[in-house]
Amino acid sequence: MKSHLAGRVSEASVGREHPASRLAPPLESLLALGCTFVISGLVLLFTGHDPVDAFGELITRTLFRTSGLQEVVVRAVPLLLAGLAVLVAAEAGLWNIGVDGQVLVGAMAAAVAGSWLDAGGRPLLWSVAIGIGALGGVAWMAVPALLRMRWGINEIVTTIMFNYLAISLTAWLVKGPFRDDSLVTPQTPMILRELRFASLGDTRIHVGIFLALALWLGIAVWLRRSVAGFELRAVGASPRAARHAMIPVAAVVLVALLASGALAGIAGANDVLSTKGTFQAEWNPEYGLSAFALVFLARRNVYALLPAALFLGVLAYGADVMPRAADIPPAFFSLFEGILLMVFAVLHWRPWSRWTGRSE
Amino acid sequence: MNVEAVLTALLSAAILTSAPLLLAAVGEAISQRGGLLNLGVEGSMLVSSLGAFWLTLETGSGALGILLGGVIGVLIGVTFGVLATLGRADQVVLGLGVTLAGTGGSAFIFRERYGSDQPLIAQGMGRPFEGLLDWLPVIGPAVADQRWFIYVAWSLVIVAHVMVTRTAFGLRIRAAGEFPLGLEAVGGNVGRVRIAAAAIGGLFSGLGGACLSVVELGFFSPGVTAGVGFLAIAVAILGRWSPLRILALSLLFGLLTGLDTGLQIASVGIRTEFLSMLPYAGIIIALVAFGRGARMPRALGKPWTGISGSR
Amino acid sequence: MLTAANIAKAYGATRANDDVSFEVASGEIVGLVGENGAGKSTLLSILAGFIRPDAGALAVDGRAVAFASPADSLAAGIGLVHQHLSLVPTFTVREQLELAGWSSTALPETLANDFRGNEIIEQLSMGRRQRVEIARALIVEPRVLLLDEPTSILAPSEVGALFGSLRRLRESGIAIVIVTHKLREVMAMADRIVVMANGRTNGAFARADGEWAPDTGGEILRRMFAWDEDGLPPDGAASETTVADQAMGPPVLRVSGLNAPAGDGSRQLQGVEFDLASGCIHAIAGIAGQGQAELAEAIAGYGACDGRISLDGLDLQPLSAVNRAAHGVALLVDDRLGEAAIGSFSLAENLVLKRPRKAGLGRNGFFRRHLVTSHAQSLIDAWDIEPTDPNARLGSLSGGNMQRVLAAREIEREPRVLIALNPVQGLDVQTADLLWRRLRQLCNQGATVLVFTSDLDEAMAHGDRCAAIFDGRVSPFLEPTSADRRAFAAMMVNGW
Repeated sequence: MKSHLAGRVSEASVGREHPASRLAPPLESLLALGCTFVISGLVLLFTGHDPVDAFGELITRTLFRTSGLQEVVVRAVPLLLAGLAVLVAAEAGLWNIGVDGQVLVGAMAAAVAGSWLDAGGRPLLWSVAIGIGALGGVAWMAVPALLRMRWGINEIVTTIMFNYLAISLTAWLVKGPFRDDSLVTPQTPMILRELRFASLGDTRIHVGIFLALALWLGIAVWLRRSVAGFELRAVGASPRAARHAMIPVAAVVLVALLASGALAGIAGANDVLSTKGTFQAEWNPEYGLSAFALVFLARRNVYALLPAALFLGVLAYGADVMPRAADIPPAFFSLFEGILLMVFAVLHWRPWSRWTGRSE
Repeated sequence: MNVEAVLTALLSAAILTSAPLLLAAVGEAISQRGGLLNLGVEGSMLVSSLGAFWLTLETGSGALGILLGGVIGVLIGVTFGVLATLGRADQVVLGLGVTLAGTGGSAFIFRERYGSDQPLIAQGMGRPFEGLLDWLPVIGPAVADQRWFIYVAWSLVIVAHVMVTRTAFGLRIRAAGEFPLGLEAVGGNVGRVRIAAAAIGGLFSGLGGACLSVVELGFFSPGVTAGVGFLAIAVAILGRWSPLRILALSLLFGLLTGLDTGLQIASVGIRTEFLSMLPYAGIIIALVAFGRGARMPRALGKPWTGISGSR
Repeated sequence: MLTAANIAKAYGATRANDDVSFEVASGEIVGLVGENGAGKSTLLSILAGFIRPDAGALAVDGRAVAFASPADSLAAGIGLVHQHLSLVPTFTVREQLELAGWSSTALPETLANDFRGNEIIEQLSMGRRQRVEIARALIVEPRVLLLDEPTSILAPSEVGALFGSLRRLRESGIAIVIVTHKLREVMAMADRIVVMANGRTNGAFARADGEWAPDTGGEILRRMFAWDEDGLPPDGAASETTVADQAMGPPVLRVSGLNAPAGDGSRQLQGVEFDLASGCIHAIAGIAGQGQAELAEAIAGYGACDGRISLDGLDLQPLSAVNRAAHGVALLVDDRLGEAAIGSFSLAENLVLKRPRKAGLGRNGFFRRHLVTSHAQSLIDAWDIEPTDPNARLGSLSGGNMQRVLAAREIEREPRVLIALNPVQGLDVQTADLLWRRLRQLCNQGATVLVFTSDLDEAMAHGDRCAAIFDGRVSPFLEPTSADRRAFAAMMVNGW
C-alpha cells in the first residue's frame, strides 16, 4: 500500500519483459508485421503504386524463385550476425548503436588479413580472417566499452560517434596504407575467388551460413544455459539486483559490449570473405539499424532471430530487385523497417484501456 | 590582408555550416531536459529538410519552405512525444525507428518526386546586414554578411535559453526531466509537458533540417544530413543542455570542420579522410574530458508511469 | 470542510479501503492512524487525487467533487505533503517555489528568516527540505493540508518545530490531516484521532476539554491492531513468548567502532558496536531511515566503512561481499522486486541468482537444468510456496510467497549470520509465522540472526535480545524481559 505515494519511474531497460504483454510473442510479431504492411502499403498507395501488386511482386521474386531464395539466405547471413551483436548487448541492458562502425572495421581488418594470407589454404585463411575481423570489431568497441565501464559515459553517444570515426578511418586506410595500387578504385587487394567462402553446390549460398548458424546456436545456448549468460541477463534485467547478487556488473558490461563488437566484426568479415572479396572505399552496408528492427521483430528471443533474419533478408533483396521490378526505390525498404521499429516501440500501447479500466 | 580574408571566410563558413547542428542540438537539449531521449533527430531533420526544399522550389520563397520544415518538425516531435509518454514506447527503439523511417521515407519520396534529377534552389536568401560591420576586421563581415535565417536561428537559440532558464514553463520542463513526481505534486501533467518539450525540440530540429537544404546547400539529396542529427545528440549532452553552451560548441565544431576543409585545400599532405575524423574524435575526447561529471537529467529515457504506477 | 463517504478501493482480492467514511473540519488537526497496510495510505491517495476510488463520494465544503488527477485535488483546495517529499532535488528553493506557482520575489514568510532561496534542495537537511515542502504545499492556499508520515524523515529535534508550525496553521483555519502510525506523536498533536484497521475505520476519538480520556492510548492501540477486549491479539500470532532462558552461545559476529560517512541519500553510521551471540535472534528496532540498510550493507560488504567486523574471529573488513557470503554472511533485504530479485526471471532462476557458480548446480560453466529445477522444487516444497511451478515468473507471486523464495535462498545456505531487514513487514500472518520459525531453527543450529524492524512489538516478541537504532547509532542490546517497552520506544524516537 505504501507504494501509492512513492511514485514509480520504471526503468527503460531492454532486457525486461513488458508487464502488459498478453499475446504470445510470435503473434505479437505477426501483428506488428501486419500493421507495418498496412502503413507502408498506404504510403505506396499515396505515391501512386499498387501495394498489392508491389508486395505480391516482392514475395514472388524473393520466395517463389530459386535464385531469389538463395539471395535472401545470402543477405540474411550478415543480418543474423549483426542481430546477434545487438541482442547480446541488449540482453545486458545496453545499446550498441555502433554496429555499422564495427562492421566496417571488422570487414577492413579481415580484408587486409585475407589479402596477406594468400598461401596456406582456405581453412587457415578463413579462420584467421574471421578472427582478425572479430578483433577489429572488438577494438572498435573497446573505447566505448571502457568509457562506459570506467566513467559511466553513455554507450549510445560514443558508439554513434565511433560509427562516423570508422567511416573516415577505413576510407583513409583504404585510400592510403592498405590500397592496392594496381587497381583504379581504392580498395584492398582482392582475395582470390578460390580462397573465399565456398558455395554450396552451384547455389549462391556460401559456407558463411554455417558460420552464422554456429554462432547463433552458440550464443543461444550461452545466453540461455550458461552461468555467464545468466549473469549477463540478470545485469540487463536489473542492475541493482545483479549488484545485490554479487555479480560483477562492470565486468559483465564489458564482456557484453566486447562480444557484441566481435559479432559485428564477424558480420563484416563474412561480407568480405564471401561476396565482396575486398574492402572498397565508400562501401557501407549499414546493417546497424536493420539489426535493431531484426532484434525487435524477434521479440528479443534469440531463437526467433533466425526467421526474423530471413524476413529481413527478403527486404534486403527486395531493395535490390524492386526498383526494376516495380519501380519502387530501395529507400522504401528502410522506411518499412523504420515503421516496423516504431510499431514495436508502441506494441504494448492499449489506448482503449483507459476507458475499460486499468491497463495493468 | 590575405590572412584576414582567409580567416573571415573560415569564420563566415563556420557560422553558416554550424547552424543546422546548432538548431538540432538545442532542440534535442530541450527534449532531453524534459526527460525524452530522442534518437529520431536525424530522421526528423531529413524529412523537414526535404519538405522545406520542396516548398521553396515550388514557391520560390525560402521563408515559406523553412516554415514548412518547422511545421513538419513539430509534427514529428509531437508524434514522438505522444508515443513516448502516452504510448509508453521505449524511447531508444522509437527514436531509431523514426530515424530509419525518416531516412528511408525522405529518400523514397525524393526519388518518387524528382527521379534522378538534382534540382537546385535558384536564388539565395537576402543578407539584411551586409556590409554593416565592415569596419570590424574578420568578425565584422563574417557576422554581418550572413543570410537572414542565420539571425533568426541565433535569436531562437537565445529565446530557447531564456525559456529554459528563466521561465515557469522552463521550470516545468526541467522538473519533468529531473523528478516527474515533483511536477505532478504541483498539479502539472508530466505527459503534457513532455509532449510540449518534444514539440519544441521537433520545431528546432525541423528548422535545422530546413536550414541545411534551403539556406546552406540549396539542394536536397537522400541522406544529406550525413549524421548531423546524431552529432546533435552528442553536442546537446556535451553542452550540458544549455543553449548558449551548445551555440559555442557548434561554432567550434563548425570551425574544426572548416579548418579541415581549409587544410585539405592547402594540401598539407594529410589525407582528407584522416582530417575528417577530427571533429568526431574531438567530440569523444571532449566527452571524456568534460562529460564524465555531467549529470544527465535523472528521469531521462524513463517513462513516467504515473504516481500510483502499477501496483 | 472535507468529507469522504463510503469510500471503497480494491486491488484484486485485497480490499485496501472498505466502506471508509472520514471528515475533517476547518481549524482542526485530525490524526489518521493505523499500522502498515491498514489502508490509510490508500485513503490519502484517494483524497489527493492520485488514485480513483471504486465507490464512494468526496465533498469539499458540501460540494461533491471527483478527482481525476492530483491537479483536480489541488484545485479543490487540498494540499499534500508527501512522505518522501516531492521536491525536485536539483532545483534551488526558489525554483521549486516558482514551479509551484510562487511569483513574489520575496520568499514565503515561513521560510523568509532561514532561507536565502538559492540553496539546492538535495543539499538541505531533511527537516529543512520538509519545511520547503510544506511551504510549497501552502502556496496555493489550500483549505485542507494532508501530511503523510511527516515525522518519518525527521530527526527528533526537528519534530517539535514541525508541530509548532502545524499549530500555527491550525490557527489560520486550515484543516489538517496527519497520517501516521506513531501514536504518541499524534496524541500530542491531534484534536481528533481516527483509527483504521484492515481497510476499515475502527473507531474515532476526540479530546474532551482539550484532554484525552484516560487510557485513550491503550484503546487506540487495541483498535489499531484489532485486538480483542482483553488487549490480546485475535489469533495469538504476535504474542509468541520468547524463550527467555535461551542459552546464549559465544559471539559469532563482532562489530566495533563502525563508522561510515553519509552518502548520497544514506545516513552516516557512528561508532556502532555489538556482539551477536550464537543461537540468538537479535532485533534492532528503529523508525525507518535511521541507518538500518547502511549498517546491514556495511556488514555484508556492499559498502565501505571504518571499524572492525569479525566473523568467528575472522576479520571481514578485507573481504569482498562475495567472500563474506562464502564465509557465511547472508543478507535478506526488504526491497524485494527492486533489489533482492528479478521479477521477469523464474522462481528457479531467482533461487540461484546469488552466487550461481557456487551453487553446485552446474558443470563447466553451464547450468544443469534438471538440478536447478529440482533444487527449486525442493525449496518450494520445504517453504510451501505457491505456485509450485519452478518456472513461474517471480513477479507474478504474492508478497508473502516472494518473501518465502528470498528467505529460502538465504537460509538454505546455512549462513553463520543472517541479517534481515524488515523481514515480515506487510506480509500475511502465515508467512510471518513461518519466517520466524525458520529463523529460530537457524539459531538452534548455532547461527546468529540480526533482524531490523520498525515494529517495536515485533522486536520484543521475537528478539532474544533487543536494541534500538537511532540516527546511525545502535544502543546496547538488552534482554526484552528486563527492559521496559517504554524505554525502548523512547530510544527509538529520542536516542539515548
